[in-house]
Amino acid sequence: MADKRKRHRVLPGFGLSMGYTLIYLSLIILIPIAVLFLKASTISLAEFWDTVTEARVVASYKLTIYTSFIAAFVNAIFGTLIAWVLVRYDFYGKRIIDALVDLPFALPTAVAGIALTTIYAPNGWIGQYFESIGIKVAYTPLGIMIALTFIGLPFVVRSVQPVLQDLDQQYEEAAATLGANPLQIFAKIIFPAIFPATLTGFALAFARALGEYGSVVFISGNMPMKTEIVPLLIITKLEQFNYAGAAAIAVVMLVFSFVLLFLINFWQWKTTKKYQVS
Amino acid sequence: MKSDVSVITPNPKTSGGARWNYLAAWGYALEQNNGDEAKAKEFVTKLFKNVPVLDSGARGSTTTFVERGIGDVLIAWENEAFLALNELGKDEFEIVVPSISILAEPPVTVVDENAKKHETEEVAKAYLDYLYTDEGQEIAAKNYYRPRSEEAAKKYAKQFPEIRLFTIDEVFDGWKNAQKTHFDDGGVFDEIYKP
Repeated sequence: MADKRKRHRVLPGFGLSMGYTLIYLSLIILIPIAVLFLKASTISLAEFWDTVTEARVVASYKLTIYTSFIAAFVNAIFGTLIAWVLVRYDFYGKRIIDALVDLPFALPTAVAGIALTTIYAPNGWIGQYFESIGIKVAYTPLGIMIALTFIGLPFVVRSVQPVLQDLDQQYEEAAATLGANPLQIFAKIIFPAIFPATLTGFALAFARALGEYGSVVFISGNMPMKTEIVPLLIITKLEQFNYAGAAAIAVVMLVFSFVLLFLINFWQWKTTKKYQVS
Repeated sequence: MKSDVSVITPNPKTSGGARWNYLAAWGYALEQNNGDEAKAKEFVTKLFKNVPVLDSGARGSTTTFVERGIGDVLIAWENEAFLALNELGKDEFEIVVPSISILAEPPVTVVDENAKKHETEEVAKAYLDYLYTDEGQEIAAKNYYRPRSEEAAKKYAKQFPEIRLFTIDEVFDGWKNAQKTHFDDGGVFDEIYKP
């Protein structure tokens, strides 16, 4: 028989908090998205299809998705490394570095974009050295990736950091006493523990990058077919008062992002479960 | 047009200034080719093939050109070009004035419904009138905008190089048509970038 006694809860009952959750999500997320779908549905299906499959739009999906993916991937690796350094080592100025990690959140993205372009332009501090070996950074997909890496970094660090902090070092010591080498300790003890958090950070950084506009338009060069991101095309449509066209592209991006995030979250949920059982 | 001269101009899809630039080039080519539309399109296509960076706004293009040192030519408003020259020194850049260009007349108007609602009709109208007083026109001229009043135009004639100007109504039959033919989706500008 199930236990009939009510468990003590901090917040008032399930009904109230669930109701609040639903209303809140509706107001903040679902209703605006519903309006977006409504707007996109004002054009015929043929028009919708033509808009979202135009060569330039398709090129921009590809660009946005692959630059976002690479940026999030780079962040997943180096963000985890930064989190590791911040949790496991004590050094002078650690708190300052810790605070630095959040800067990409605080900085207006346009400022970030202009600053990055200044540095990575062919005559910029860093850009000139790349230029001298024949690599163009600003005004190429590479520049877009740098901007997206910049804005996505805090997501991974802040996802992994608390998990690492909670990870008891005794497990590693126990593994070592049982004869595990450092590589085994990392692969069998540390990695499984932080991997779900890294995945969460990756998903957040990736999602953020898909929608990023402010920083990218300055560094991308906005060349049709080459460096035009999806959000720019949406703005382009808005400038022509083509609201339905803008909404159509947004809907495609939204559905794609949702499916992708759902899959990543599902994967994350599975890995968490797998390691929890043992 | 030389193919090795790279040109900086913003994206006409997102920037109003860029639309003026585009139309100026189109009008210039029409004039040079006795009104041949196909030749004009060819000219503008060639022009945009030489654009390495399409910024989303005119100020962005100025930054790209001036600060980043990208491109050989920046297409800019006359007043912006003078300002840039003043800011950065006359030895840095040279202003090249085309023989024919477009007369860009940004509109100014009182939106009476809004003004009525805010009860600011009087001030709004006063401001509008002030723009066309001698004083207002002088301020405009000092900031490198071509004045409309004859007196101010005469006084500052030396400042502005002689140039033949056509209006958007003469060549493109107004903004509405220009937007539709050239800048709307599937318009002439899109054809330039068709893969």
